[in-house]
Amino acid sequence: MSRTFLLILIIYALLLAGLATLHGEFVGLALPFVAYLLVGFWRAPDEIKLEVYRTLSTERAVPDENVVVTVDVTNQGADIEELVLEDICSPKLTVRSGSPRHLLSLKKGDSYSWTYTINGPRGSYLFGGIKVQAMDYFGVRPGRQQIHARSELFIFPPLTRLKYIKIRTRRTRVYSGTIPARLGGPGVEFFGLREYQPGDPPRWINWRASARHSESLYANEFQQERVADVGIVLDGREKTNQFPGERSLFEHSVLATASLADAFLSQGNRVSLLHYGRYLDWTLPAYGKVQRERILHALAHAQTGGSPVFSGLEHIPVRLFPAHSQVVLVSPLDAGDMDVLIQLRARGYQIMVISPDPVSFELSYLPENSSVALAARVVRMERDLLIKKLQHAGVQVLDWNVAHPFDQVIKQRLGPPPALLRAIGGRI
Amino acid sequence: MSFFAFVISVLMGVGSLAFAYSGIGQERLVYGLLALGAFWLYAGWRRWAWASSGIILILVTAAGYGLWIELSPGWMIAGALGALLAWDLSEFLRRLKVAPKTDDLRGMQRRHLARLTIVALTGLLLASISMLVRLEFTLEWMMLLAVVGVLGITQLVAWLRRG
Repeated sequence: MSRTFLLILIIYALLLAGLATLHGEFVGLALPFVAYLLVGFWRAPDEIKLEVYRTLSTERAVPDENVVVTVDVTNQGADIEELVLEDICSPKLTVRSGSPRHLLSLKKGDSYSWTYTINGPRGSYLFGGIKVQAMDYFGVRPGRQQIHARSELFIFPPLTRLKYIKIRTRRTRVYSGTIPARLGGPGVEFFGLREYQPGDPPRWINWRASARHSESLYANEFQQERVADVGIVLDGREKTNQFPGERSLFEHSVLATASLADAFLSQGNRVSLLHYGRYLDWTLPAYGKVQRERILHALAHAQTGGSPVFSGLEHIPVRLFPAHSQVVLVSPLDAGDMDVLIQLRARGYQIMVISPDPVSFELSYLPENSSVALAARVVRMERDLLIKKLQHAGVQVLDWNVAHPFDQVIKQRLGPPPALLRAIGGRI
Repeated sequence: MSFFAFVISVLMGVGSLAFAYSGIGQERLVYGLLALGAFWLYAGWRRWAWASSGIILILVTAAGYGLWIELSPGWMIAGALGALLAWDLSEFLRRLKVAPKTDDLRGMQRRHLARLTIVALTGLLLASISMLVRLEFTLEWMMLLAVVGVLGITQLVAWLRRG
């Protein structure tokens, strides 16, 4: 019931009671209410004319980074006795200091500015507008309005810079890059021998081979290094990521995906992203910094989700990835995924699986007792078997215990060999 | 400051009515009013503004009933006025509750209480004058009030429909 309605109800009830009983005192009793109502109406703001600007200290942040929101309000209309201003921000964001809501008086032409600090988890947050409630002396006739002031805050996953990730695809693109192309030409790694051709640098001449064949000179040939197509598939299925108590491996998967995309793009590759969860979210393949922004935006929105259609990986739209390209799946893995991955491998894709380890993740918060240890042993064996089968099928699997930093794991398993081993031509 | 004023208003509203009714031996009504006042204070402390709308209706009804059974009009006006002030302050306290402490809340409270006092005194004065003059409810007065009432209700309906 609105305040005005209640007051009018009381006033008319008293007047009617006076009429019905022929008691003048009822009218007298109504007079304080009439005075109150009239003063309220007299001072009620006719029109709310406010100019509102909102600025964010940054529009791109990482989780738990403080972002300062500044709101400037100018009153272009009449004096407002009581003004409630509320900046509408997502409930997922945490207000660290200050307040998005204020109560003040604002005279005509006056301005008011306030700041508050927020932070929050990964995501994309839209600030829709400022909720305004302008009131008279007694709040009898409040005027409500929502003033449009659009801002957007992106909280991206934290990027771990990876120096180099060794991949080797069967097909590369024409531009030079860092991936061995299985083609002779300018490069670093020795590829083979061919007859010396005019224009070849003299230092390419292989004197030992030329000495054996006196009729002509032979030159070393190097392996060309080019860029490749890399398709990253982020597994956002609820069944593989969610654990009891709202715990999730998904944030680790997102971190890994962001870091991998950044590393592949830094190496000059053409990278695409497929978020496979409740639905398919496809970021078209492209190169460079703009593509990194696109992927980070897509990752900011990424959430886990359950869908009967996408409960297995068999609906990955394979045609999105160029033939013989590198496909990187970031997934905790499910027993049913093995067949799909082996089929992809059979189609000629180079498959790499970065798998945040769900067993060690779950063990990290479960109590230590014999039942848990036995269960862990069983599921560990199942997972090891799954990984071994995948490796046997030619799928490169990186089992990542999320307690360890991702960059260190990548450096150990997928980075360049240590300088000493490189010097002696060794391999890991 | 505002909460103190709210407590005073509740005590004034409930106390006036309870005192007047205790004079005619309406013990149950007095206890009911006192219980209502205690609940209103508790609701005000918890900032339950929703409670006020119901309570003011009950207290104004009690004041009207008191006038009808010819209790002292002064106590009845004091009761209704206290209820009005407490009702206003409970809503004001709710608005203050959501504002951060850094706002000029003391200044707003001071200004609000000053205006409320002026309106309350004006209302009290008008009501007292009307009681003292004790206009006879003649047929002419009744006709005039009926016309004003009909016009007012028409305006109210039109205003509500526009809203």
